[in-house]
Amino acid sequence: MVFQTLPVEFDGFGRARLRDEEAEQPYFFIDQRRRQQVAQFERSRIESISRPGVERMRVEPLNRTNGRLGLDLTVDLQNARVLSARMESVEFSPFELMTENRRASDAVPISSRTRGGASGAHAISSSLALEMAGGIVPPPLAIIARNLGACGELIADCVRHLFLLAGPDYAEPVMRKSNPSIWRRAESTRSANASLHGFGTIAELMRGLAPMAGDLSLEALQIYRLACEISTLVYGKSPHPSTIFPGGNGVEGSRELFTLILGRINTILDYGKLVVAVWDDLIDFLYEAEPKFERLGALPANLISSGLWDDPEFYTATYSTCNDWGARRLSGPGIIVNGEKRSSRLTDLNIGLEEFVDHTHFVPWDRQRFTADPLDNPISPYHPWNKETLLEAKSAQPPAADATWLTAPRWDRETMECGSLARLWINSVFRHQNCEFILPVRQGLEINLPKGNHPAKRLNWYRPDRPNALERLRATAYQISYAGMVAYANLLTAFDCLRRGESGMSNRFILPDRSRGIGFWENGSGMITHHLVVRNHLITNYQINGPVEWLASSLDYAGWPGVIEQALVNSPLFEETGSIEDYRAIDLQRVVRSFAP
Amino acid sequence: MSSEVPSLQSDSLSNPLEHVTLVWLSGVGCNGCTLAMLEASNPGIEDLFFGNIPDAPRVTLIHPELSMESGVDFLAMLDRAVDGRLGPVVLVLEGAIPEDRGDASGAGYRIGRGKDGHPLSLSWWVEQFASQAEALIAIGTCATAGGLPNALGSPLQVRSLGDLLGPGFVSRAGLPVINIPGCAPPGEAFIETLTYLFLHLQQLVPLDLDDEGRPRWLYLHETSPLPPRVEFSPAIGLDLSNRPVIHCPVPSTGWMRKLGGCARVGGSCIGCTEPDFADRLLALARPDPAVN
Ligand code: SF4
Ligand code: SF4
Repeated sequence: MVFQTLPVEFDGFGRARLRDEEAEQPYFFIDQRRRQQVAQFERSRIESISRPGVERMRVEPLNRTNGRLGLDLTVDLQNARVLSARMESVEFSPFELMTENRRASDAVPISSRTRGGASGAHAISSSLALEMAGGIVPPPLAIIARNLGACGELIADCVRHLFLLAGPDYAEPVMRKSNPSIWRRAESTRSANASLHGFGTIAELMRGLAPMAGDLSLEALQIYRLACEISTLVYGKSPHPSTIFPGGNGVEGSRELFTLILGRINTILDYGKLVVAVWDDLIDFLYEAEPKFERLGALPANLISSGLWDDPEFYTATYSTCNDWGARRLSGPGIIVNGEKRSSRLTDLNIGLEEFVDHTHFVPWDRQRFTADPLDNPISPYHPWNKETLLEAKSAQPPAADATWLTAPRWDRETMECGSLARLWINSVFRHQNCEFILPVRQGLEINLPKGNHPAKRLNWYRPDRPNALERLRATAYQISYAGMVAYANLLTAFDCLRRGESGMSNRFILPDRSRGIGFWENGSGMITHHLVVRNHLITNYQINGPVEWLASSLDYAGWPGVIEQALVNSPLFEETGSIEDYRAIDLQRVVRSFAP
Repeated sequence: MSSEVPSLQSDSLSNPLEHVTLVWLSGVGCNGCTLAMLEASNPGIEDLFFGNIPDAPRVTLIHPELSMESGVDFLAMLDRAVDGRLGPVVLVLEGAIPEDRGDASGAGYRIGRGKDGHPLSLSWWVEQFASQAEALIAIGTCATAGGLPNALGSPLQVRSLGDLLGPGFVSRAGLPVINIPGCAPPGEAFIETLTYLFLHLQQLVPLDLDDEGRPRWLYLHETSPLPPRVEFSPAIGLDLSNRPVIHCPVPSTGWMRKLGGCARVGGSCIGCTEPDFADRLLALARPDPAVN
């Protein structure tokens, strides 16, 4: 079954329809199961709140994330439980509003400013949405170039996640203070992969993680720059590409361009072997030293990915064939709810989307422009093609006490985790195999890295029982090699295109009078979708959803919290802090940063 | 990046400067300027941490994306920096400054809360540092001029660092606001300016700023907004003589390590160093102005 909660079913030909076609307002229903969950949760929180040892605290600003976040916590330190957790965003990004009523191609440079670290991903997403609206496909080499720029940006994003944002939470100074007994054990534990990375003990490795001081961190900074060189070569400038357009790419697709990228990818592929050895050693040690790490930030597998990196042989830019070209992406799409496969079709992904603003500084919109997608599959009044961004400042109602600037996107009314772990997981269980060097196997993925300065190596990524904080980091380490091999595969195709004389880089982009489009893409932290509506050749509605909305979302219409909040509430607390004055919720900061929101 | 630094009298600038605390604050923007800053190498930001640059002081960075500390510990570091307990301070602002509505929602930008729980706005923090910092740097067009958050269609009311501090403002070391425009500007331009600023503070080489507070030698380069070189592009055979002139180092230096560089490699130039680029210049950079 694709949808459990939304009122949508499929006929014998696989076409979606409303379960009850007569229903007046099929999407306005109360999900009793969810209401009960929320009520139960609230009860247990309120019961325990007056107990001794229960503390309310804020971690604000919560640094080393991609957003501008704060954390509001109620923790029962005596029983080591988190009673409630709220993510707050103090940031409002005006850019989706600003694309409206502008000329279509302006959407690309404007929406790229949504997030610096994902600027290429947003620019591509925007271009894909416009290409869909206009029915324009770029030439093969332009699609390849775009893929390569995205590989560079994704690798830079993952390296930053591991060594500047989340990784430092496991560096020596933090471990010594928050988990002194684990630190002592690290000092006498030899690392299994010392011959690869050169750090004899786990303690040495943790020293290497000290941000901008340890050897691992400084090396990561060099690799970050190398990955940025790749995106700069394609994008002309990174962050904020100057070459990405609907219909093509301004850069010249020369042999020189691809050769320059190849040299850099080679270094990164070698680095991939090392970075996986480092994180495997660290994570395996942490599980052994403290089994509670298994439950840190653990959640049921609710995973979503739209996939990224199009295959020029299949990409047609149209919605009607998006399930075909989506299935050929070098990282494929998929949706998993509670560990169960739901669908790997982009149309299902799209029609299951809804975005709620009940607990935000935005106000609800009151019209439903579309009841179906262009293939006549039903969509909700809360679907991004219907959603409008309306600011509370213009309304008379006072903001809800717990309002934040992040909306609550849901799929089939579920909160969904996205990011590297979701991507690897989805590619393994849906058995996507579109990159010759990456093989889905029963327990996970095999990534075959060629010989460089280090010998060739097959990386085996194993699917964990369920997502948790450490597995998110491990997946991010494997993602570097995954993206590296995708880049390598794209380079081979690029050289082949050039050999055949297919060096075109752009096709003329024209926007019809009325149209709709979606761009599906991903950055390191997860899925990015741009939905747009065109009227009179102008963009009349533009909606952006990115990982920070999916992960750090506000409560939805039913009061159900977002992914990170759920992960926090389920987490064990085991840092060894002497007194409440010294308590800084390090365990919980680790959980938040594992998502790189 | 520990917060433990040797205490230095801030008025000891007649003596060689050994240590500087770089306080980085962010407002409305996208964090892209931070990422650009990290791209610079030879020297990179880490060379400043290690004190590897001759005559430049050793630098400690307080930065929302790079500092180890969060919450109260981070705010305590900011407090100590404001009080002069961390020695000489240079303030860097990325992003535009939203209006301070004094409540928790408002334009949304606060950096922590005071003891009684009231939100501390970005403009409040900037004002705290205005009299304390030896120099104040605005990085990126959001901070130098309001940039994209100020463009048509934005519901926000934002100000640049220069607007907040007013015309005629001079820092403790006698400098106006130093502006490094670009969306983002190249990281190399930032590190280079910072290095020259240090040489200035050491009284070795005066910092050469133009009328707009920009490092003159970087923003001497002239260029024009241009469409990308796509097959149907109007850029082919375009008459450049009647295009607005803008100033940006990227066309001559490339984006990083001499690579990339917008129109130089076939991309567009949207004139992102200019205050109103999104309203005036973007139109001159469309791939196909005839149609879209
Ligand atoms: S100037 Fe540009 S790159 Fe810098 S923060 Fe503003 S939008 Fe981002
Ligand atoms: S060349 Fe143009 S688009 Fe590129 S950074 Fe400079 S002003 Fe901005």
